[in-house]
Order: sequence, then structure tokens, then C-alpha cells
Amino acid sequence: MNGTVDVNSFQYNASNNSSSFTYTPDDAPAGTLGVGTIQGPDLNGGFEPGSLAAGVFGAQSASTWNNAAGTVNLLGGIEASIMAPWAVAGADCLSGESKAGCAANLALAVVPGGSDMRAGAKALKAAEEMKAADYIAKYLKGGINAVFPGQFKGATLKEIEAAAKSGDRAARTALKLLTDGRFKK
Amino acid sequence: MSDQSWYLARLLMKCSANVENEPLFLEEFILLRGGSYDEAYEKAETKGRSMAHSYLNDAGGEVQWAFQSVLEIRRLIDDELVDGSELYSRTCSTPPDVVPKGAIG
Repeated sequence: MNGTVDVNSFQYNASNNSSSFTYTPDDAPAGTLGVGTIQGPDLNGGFEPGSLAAGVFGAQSASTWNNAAGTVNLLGGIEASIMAPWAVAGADCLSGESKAGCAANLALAVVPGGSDMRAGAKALKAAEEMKAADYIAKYLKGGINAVFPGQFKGATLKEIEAAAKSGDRAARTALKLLTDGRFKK
Repeated sequence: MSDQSWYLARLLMKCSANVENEPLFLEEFILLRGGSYDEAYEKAETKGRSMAHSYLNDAGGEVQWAFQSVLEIRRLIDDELVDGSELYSRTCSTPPDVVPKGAIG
């Protein structure tokens, strides 16, 4: 979901060591606010189960991040890019900052750069699952419909790409048309 | 050392259907292996002809893509293609348009 974070909304809750913020979703009616919460690490006894900190820095993490010092597996690719600011802030926490400062830094580390990257990754994933007809309606000029292969209008972009890679000539043309700057709105 | 080189061919395809009352062309950039310019040119023509195809659009109208011509054959400087290989260059008197990043590239 894309949206805009209110950077003045960040609050730290000392009782549960979390930071929260509000944001306005792009597609929501005016005035609609969402609330995001970032759970900080428990510096006295490891990481709270289920928290983002545990997922990223925990020893049992299945993530490409694999230790508490924020060591990065470079093969992590996009995940590494998205989580890098968080890792830096997290490493600072581990070196002895106060809980309040730590949680605030963790929150700020993901905004706005991190949130942009997360949104980009989600948009890419969402686009792959979109049907061509929906993608065209949202992102492209209607003129493309005159030359777009009709058999792929109801297919997802992922399905079209698979067909293109298998050698389907019409699917290849469909992909070329979908990615051609000429038709972008 | 191999006597084969990499060539980049620019091919022109033409669509039978118009888009907003204007004709639509497609410029294809094709990588070819060849021992000479003439060999690469022949392969480019064969490739262009093989790329002709047709299908129906959403309204049931037939859309044909026909090979028009080879626009250019350029031999690559490097013999081996690696990450960062330079494929094609051209000069211009005005900056080309920037194509913004899309949701799917």
C-alpha cells in the first residue's frame, strides 16, 4: 500500500518500547489515517518474540540478515537495500544507546528512504500479479488497446512474462508494449 | 582467437494497426554472432523475417507485425560480453527523451 507518512507524528511509548506514526494511504478517502508501529528491541533480554527486531536481528532469523551486529548477506539483494537503514540504527542500539533514542532511531531509519523502497518492492510485486487490462487502465494510455494481443488482456504480467520466455511471439510483443515509454501515462 | 564477432542489428517492424490515427513502428535491437558484416546482415534479415507475426486485439481486429528493413549493423568492440558490456552508441544534437521507470520496468 502506498501512502504518505506524517513525519511529525512519531511517538515513543516507553511502556512497551515501541514507536508509532500515522500515515495517509494514497487510495483512501481524504482524512483517512493509518497507524504504523515499530517494535523496538528489548535491550535487557534479547528480542521480544514476534517483533521486527527479532525478525531482523534474532539468532534464529530466517532472513538474509543473520546476526545481531547487522551483518549483511550481500546476496540478500532487495531485502538488504530495504533493511539497511534499520540495520544501522539497530547496530547503534546494540552499542548502548538509551531505549528511547534507540526506538526513535529505528523508526526514523525507515522513513522516508526505507518506506520508499518498501513501497517500490510492494508495487513491483503487486504489478506482477495485476492483469494486463488492469495494468493498462492504471498506468498506460488507452491507445495501446488497438495493438495489444487480446488473448493476454486477462492474463497477469507474470503469466505474460512466462509465455514470452517460452517463445510465444504475441506474448513477447505484449511485454514490449507494456514496457514501452510511448504508452506510459 | 575466434574470427567471429558480436554484432548489434537494429531492425524495423511495422504494425498494421494505427494507434490514435498514427502508424506504429517497432525498433528491435538484436545481438548476432557473425564472421563479417555481410554475414551479420544476412542473419539480421532472416531474424527480422522470423519475427513477423499476427494476433487479434481485444476488439477482434487482426494486428500484424511485418518486418520492414535492417536499419543498421554495428560490430561490437569487445569480443566477450560481460556485465557492463557496451552494446551500442550514437551521437545526437539534442538529448534523447528519458523514459521514466515503470512499475514493471
